[in-house]
Amino acid sequence: MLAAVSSSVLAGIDGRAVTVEVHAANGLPGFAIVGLPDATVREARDRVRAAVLSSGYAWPDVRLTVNLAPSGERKVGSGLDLAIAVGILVVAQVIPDDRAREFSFIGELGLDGSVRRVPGMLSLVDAARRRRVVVSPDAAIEAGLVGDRDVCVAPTLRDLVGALRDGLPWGDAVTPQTRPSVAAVPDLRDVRGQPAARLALEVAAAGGHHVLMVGPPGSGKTMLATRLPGLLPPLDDQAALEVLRIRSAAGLLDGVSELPRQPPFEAPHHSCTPVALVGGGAYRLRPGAISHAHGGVLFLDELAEFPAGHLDQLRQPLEEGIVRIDRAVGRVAFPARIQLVAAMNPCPCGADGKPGTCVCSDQRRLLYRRRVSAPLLDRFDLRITVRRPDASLFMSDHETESTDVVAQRVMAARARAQSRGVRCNAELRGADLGEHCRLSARGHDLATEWLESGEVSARGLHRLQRVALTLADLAGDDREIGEDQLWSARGLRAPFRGPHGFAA
Amino acid sequence: MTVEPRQRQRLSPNGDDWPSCLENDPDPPRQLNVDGCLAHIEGPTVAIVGTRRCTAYGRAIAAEFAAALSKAGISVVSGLARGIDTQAHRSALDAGGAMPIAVVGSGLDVVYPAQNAALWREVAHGGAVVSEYHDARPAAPWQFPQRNRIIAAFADVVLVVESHERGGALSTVNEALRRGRTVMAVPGSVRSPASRGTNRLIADGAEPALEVGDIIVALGLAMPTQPSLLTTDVLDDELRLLLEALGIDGAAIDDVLVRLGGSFGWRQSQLQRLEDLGRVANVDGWWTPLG
Repeated sequence: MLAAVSSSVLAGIDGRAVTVEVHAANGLPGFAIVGLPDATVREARDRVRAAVLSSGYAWPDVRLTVNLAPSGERKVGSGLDLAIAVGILVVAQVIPDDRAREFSFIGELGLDGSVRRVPGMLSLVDAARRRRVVVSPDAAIEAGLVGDRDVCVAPTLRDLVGALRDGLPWGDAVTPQTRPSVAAVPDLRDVRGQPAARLALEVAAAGGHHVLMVGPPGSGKTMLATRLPGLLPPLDDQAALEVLRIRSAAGLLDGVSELPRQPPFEAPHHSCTPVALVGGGAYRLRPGAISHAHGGVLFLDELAEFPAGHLDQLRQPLEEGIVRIDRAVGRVAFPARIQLVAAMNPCPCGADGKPGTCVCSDQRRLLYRRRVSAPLLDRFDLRITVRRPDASLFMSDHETESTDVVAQRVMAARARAQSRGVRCNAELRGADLGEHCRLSARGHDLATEWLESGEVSARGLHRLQRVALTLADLAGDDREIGEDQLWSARGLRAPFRGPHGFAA
Repeated sequence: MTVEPRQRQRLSPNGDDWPSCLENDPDPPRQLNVDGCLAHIEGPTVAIVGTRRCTAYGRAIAAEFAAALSKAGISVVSGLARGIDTQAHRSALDAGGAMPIAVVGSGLDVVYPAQNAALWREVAHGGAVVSEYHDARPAAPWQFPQRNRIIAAFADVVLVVESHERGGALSTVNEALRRGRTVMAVPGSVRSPASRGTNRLIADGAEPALEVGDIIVALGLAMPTQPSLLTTDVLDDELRLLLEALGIDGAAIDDVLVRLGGSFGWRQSQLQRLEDLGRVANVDGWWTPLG
């Protein structure tokens, strides 16, 4: 007797369809699982046996061989439990074979026969071969987000048999009690003074530009960075599904009740490993911080404290928006389209930037700044210095703009950028700039002057043009790019060369 | 243009080329190794010395004085250290007048600090790099005060541009006084730690150098043209207002925006214009007035 049941497993954050084949042979009773199962799948033997017995069905007195096809790929996770149990109940002639073939089954079994959700439900359901998928009650909402599937709910193995064999109704979905996955984003109104930094933040949100903030401790770098997700437009359906897929596969969610709309904000500590930053892992490939920040902000505080090797691993994902992991256990690609926000002190002593207050030697300052490689530094369209705000300004009740007001402008600017066929101006390629970023006569003269004097390189000018374009978008200005925007762009992209940055 | 590397000269006290200013020296070097041509030493010379940790103000003054002296045919003597020394050599070279002389604290084959390698070569080609140590001697902390006595001996006037309260430049001053050379100092803000040493020198009786003309007078020479220390261009009202808003200690663009308003780009362009006019300096986003 042979049964074939459809299910799926995770590989990275994607699902792969798996056929669970169960063969019953005469001979000494036994139960073997083949097809490259890992430890959690091998342990399914004991869980499935207990669940079948607790549900009141007889364990078939035959030699059982379970094969997980395609048998050449490693299978991880406990989501195959349900499919294995169904296969065994088919060969035990409890469930009719033709009914079992209509469904895919994804879930872990408890020893009492209850069905439980597993991480990565969204990807697993998406990969399932059948249109109708059986899952646990608390996984039903997440499974339903895939859209084109019929989700059937089985609270226990008995309910499942009842529905398949006796035509009883399926169970009801349960909305999982979820903790809010992301805390409320703090408001920009809390930031006092700092007009230049606020402008930089707004431009970053509107144009998708990477930002580097250099300033002494207590100047508000982290405070500014945490306000960026609030300025970004909410995630669209596709991005929200990708974000959910990553979080779910990483096992970070208790359950899902709705699509996440708020762009993620990830702030890995500088002591993290390269794997924690870009992804990887020994036998199960997991997404790193850069993928968890997909669609949102990756904030690297104390950039100069990150080992240089870690940082340079970010370069390729920053260009491509995808991180490719190649290991002995397999090869996966995680989405990693992020906006990078980094912060660092101007020097090891962290003086407040007024001349004469720093006690570091030029050599130390230079070495400190050189920890951030030039290619990485070049990827920041916006590089600003942040200072501690004036005491008078800090204590005044001077009204500052709130996140809502700025976010409106950002939305409008993004809409303009999208008319150019990109998500944001940072994605415009050099070749397209000539078409979309026309310089006015005076702007052209200014740019020529900068190029001729060597103050700005040709590559640097492209970066300035992108930022200038975003500034024009924010101002709602459809005309050519003028002097004012170019000057602003230049002011927002400090050169950070030499021990004192701006100085030669 | 390629410059033929000149033969390294080795001077000894009995030789013909031994500089005359070392003849009655209380503590002369036993020998001198010279890359370049030391002939300028017999003309008028001014040592421009100062702290390695200089401010934008000190750098600007060193540049201005060194350039003006070079154009007036006066050789600038300094030590090729970071900060003031570097700026003095660089500006004297760029001015294209009398070529500078560098007295270094390491052997001639050991470039220290390494960042000054290009400047070192240019000084050797145009003027002279001098050392009393054998060619491979590495830099050592005690050698720098020692070479300061040669700088003092080489110069007719020693000008201290900026010095902290206990700076190495003050050892050059002591050596200069021992040899009866004129010591001048550039006054600075009483709030600036980098001017504390120079202001103290002036209080103790050193001559203040308020403009290049003062140095020329101290040398007993006439100045061919009299460039003023202060640039005489007239600022328009907007720029003057901006300069005033920066205050004495300078400000960041944030402060300008808060105090005066206006768009970020416009203020940025104005500050840049002030810098191009030589009225302010920008260090790490901090704009300091120089006037």
